[in-house]
Amino acid sequence: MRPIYFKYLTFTALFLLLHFGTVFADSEVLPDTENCLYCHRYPSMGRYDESGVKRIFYVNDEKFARSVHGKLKCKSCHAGVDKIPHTDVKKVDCTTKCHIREPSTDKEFSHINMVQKYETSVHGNGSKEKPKPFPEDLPTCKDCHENRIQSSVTGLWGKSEALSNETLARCIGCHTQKDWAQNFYLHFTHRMRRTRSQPEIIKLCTSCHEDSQKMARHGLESVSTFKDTFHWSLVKYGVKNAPDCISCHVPVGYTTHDIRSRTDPMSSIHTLNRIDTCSNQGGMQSCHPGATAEFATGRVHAYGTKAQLAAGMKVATFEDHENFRLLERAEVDISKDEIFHLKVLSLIQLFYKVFIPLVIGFMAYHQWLDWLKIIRTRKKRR
Amino acid sequence: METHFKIKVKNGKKYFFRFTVNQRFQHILLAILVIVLVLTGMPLKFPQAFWAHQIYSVFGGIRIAPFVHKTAGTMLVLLFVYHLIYLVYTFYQGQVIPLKKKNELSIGKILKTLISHPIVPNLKDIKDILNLLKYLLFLTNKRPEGAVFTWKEKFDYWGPFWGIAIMGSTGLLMWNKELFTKFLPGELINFALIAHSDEALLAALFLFIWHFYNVHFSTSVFPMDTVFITGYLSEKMMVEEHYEYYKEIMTASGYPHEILPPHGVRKPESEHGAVRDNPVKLTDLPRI
Repeated sequence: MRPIYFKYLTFTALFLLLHFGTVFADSEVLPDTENCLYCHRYPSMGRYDESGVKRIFYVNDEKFARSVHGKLKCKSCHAGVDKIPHTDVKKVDCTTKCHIREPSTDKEFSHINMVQKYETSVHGNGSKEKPKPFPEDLPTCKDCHENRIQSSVTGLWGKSEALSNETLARCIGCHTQKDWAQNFYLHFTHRMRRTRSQPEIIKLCTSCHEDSQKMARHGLESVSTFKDTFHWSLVKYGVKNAPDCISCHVPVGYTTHDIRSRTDPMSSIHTLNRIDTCSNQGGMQSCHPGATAEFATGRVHAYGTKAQLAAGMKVATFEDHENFRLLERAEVDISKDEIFHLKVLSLIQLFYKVFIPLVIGFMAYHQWLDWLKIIRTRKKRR
Repeated sequence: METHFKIKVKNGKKYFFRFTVNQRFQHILLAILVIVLVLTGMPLKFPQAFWAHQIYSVFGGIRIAPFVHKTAGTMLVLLFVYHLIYLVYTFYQGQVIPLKKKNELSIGKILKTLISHPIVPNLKDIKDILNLLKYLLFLTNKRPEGAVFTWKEKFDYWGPFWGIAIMGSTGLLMWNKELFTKFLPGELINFALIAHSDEALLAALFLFIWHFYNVHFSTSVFPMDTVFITGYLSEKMMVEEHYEYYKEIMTASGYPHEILPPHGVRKPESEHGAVRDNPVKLTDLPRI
């Protein structure tokens, strides 16, 4: 048997094994000490809220038990909810301490470290002295972490070489409680796997970043410019390891919670770090092994509105708030070199924009006349 | 050098020599390579299109099609280099050596022969384009009389010539971007992508609208002009497209009395119900 088939077979067997493991795990579901399921076990439970959005309040306890937060009590995250109906309910705050002791420090666990880091990143609220405008546009934890209870964690097995049944088997050697070992293993290997495919990542990022009005409020342009690249074509053709947003903006060794502006030296796409991002990410991933400094100065996204505004190819007026804000940012962001490149690029584009219709138009005109001539001469002959 | 009869007579019909075996071989190779390149390239330019994935899968999908594209591209570049050598060689053999023999060799003379070479565009081409438009618009009844190579054929030749130069250089640059950016600026990759992709569109449109119509779909040649296989052109097409050259060749080959009237002008005998030399009999008609 060829080793590749053997590999697939092992993974399939492992997948099935894990799958059965979770189905038959009866001790998984925690007892409902808060008695929330008294009401929330009914699948029809839900309503339309004031804005007309359908809200479902049904909780499938088995699926919940298998989710990342399966070991938590409901009130650990949903503060309030002491009255019925729940008029006192507060929005879920991920910085709350959730009454689980983290074994390595023996402190109560909370996501606050991550949130603090996140607040200083491009997506955060900014500092207290200098808060960002339009805070309602900024993504919060839940905008990306949908906590997809429905998706099966076990289905991701075999997508990373860091995960193997051998490793898990070693854990189970000491940690004889298989369910616990498996859960813990899944928990700490979570960051070694991709939980979203490339199109899913692009869909998630573009759900905000393609909204040009929302972006313009923050001096940004739509990232539809990505769709003019070979990287996008590779994603479209479903290539394994095709580069999506995080491949370059959050390469190996960086975190999604700490994405920086490209002018920040800590950013993976800052000119100083770009060679590494293209050629060798933390010694792990190398897409363009021979990339040089010059290679890395090439543009990955096509030039968008911002560069066009800076180059004076588009004019922003005071009434045109969107573009005016962009122009303000463009003056800082777009260098003179880039303006020059854009001009050369547009010159090439302009040449073909004129040349193609001119040549092809003339040819089509000639062929059309030729065709008419033939038809008319034929009619005459009859 | 190969020798060819300028006119071949077969079954009472005259055929006019156009292309050598070498040229025909170059053309067929070019045709195959260009079609493969268009089919493996366009799906990358339009990955969203409904046909993109289907065409791509014919060439083995994303894992194999790019390899096919690069192989075909390399072969086309090699063909182009071969053609350049061929050009220099034939020019040397056909034009420079005769000059040498006449002891008239000088740079000015060589330049002059180069400019007056039949494949190089000249003033007559512009006149012919204008006159052809006049003819097609029913402003005149006289079709321009084409020389050895008409302006249409010059388009057919110089279009791909320029196209391969652009496509080849930009393609090689994008293929070996890490290597080339060791000594070239990185923005060139962006410029190359735009030029490669737009030039490809131009080439493909040119091929389908211009060349395919002229040699396949035009009613005079439908379903195809066989000259690219046989190397010889029929008398009808010769009269239609290259009348000036036709008269020249017919006179030189000893058929000055058999020169047909220009395209669109009928023989006086067969006009307006005149009696035919050989009336058609019922038995001549094909059985149904």
